[in-house]
Amino acid sequence: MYIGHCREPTIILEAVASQDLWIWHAFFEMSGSLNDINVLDRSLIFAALAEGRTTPVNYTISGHEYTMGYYLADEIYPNWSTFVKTISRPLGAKRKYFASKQESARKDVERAFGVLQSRFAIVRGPVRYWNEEMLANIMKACIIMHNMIIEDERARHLGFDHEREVNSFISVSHGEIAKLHDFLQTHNRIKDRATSS
Amino acid sequence: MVAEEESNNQGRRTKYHGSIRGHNIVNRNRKEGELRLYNDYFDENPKFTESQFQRRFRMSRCLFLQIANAMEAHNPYFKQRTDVLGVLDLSCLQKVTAAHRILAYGIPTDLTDEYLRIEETTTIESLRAFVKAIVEVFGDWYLRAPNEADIYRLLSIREQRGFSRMLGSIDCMHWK
Repeated sequence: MYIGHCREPTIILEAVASQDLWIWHAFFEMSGSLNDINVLDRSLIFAALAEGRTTPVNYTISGHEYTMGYYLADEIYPNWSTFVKTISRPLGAKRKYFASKQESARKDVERAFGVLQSRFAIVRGPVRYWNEEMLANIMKACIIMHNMIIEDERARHLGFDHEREVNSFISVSHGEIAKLHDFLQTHNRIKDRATSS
Repeated sequence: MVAEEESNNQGRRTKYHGSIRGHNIVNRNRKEGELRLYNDYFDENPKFTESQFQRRFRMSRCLFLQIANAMEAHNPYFKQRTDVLGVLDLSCLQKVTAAHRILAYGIPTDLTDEYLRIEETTTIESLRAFVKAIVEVFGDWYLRAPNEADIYRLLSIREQRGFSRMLGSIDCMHWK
């Protein structure tokens, strides 16, 4: 049941990381038939965006108007407007520059995985014993402690707790969940191929 | 009479509490393990330095104690208790350290017996309680979706890197 394209039983973890290696989103699935693409369809990362619960980010790039923030992804991800991918075999200085910049920024997530694995060896080693719920809790606990360490070290470097300081006087409001119609519309916009090319 | 007692014991065997006749008891001197751990890392003048602590526990002493205290406050399992004979049970630090060792080093659960004096089944029990408590206590804050302040901060970092509206990078990892 858990044996997938890696020819071994695996658990797949999908994550979004930022430059400070903070892991923003983690989603994992047990079935081995999953790969990067179909795990994306099952994860909830873009559900919040489609429901309109996140902050709109407005920007314009070469004539196109975008209303959502984007994520850097590698080759295998689909051409959605929320993903910015590198150019394979770039031609010309401009494209080469873009590709090198994209690749150097995208590796944040790889660095985050590396640090997570070196901090918590259990994530690197073979999955042993315990049931699915326990494994999910172990994974979550490791990521939570990983983020706690990052926050702690950041506070240590700055001399104060930057994040708490900021959040203490900003109230976070999550609007109501949008109607199904709006949801579908936004969802189509996320998956829109035309805007990303 | 004896047969009746036997059948009672059989019934109790499914539960972990209470004494079981014929059960092999190993006196592992838990107090000694507790004292050694305390003197090594958590004393006023610990044997090992802060940097050694950070290397072995992956975090500062301050943060580790904060986590341990939160565990103790959240789940009474982590409180140090006494049994009916007045013998002290395992301390919170022993249980939390054992669970942390399993996560950080990926060691077999049996190995904690030697240094921390915690038996294998108790280690698994602590680990189970520990990961559950971590998720319950800290999950809401440390696994949150980015809020307005976070997005603002992320975007302002990005401005300096050339990708002005990028929120992060996404990828998958396989845990084998």
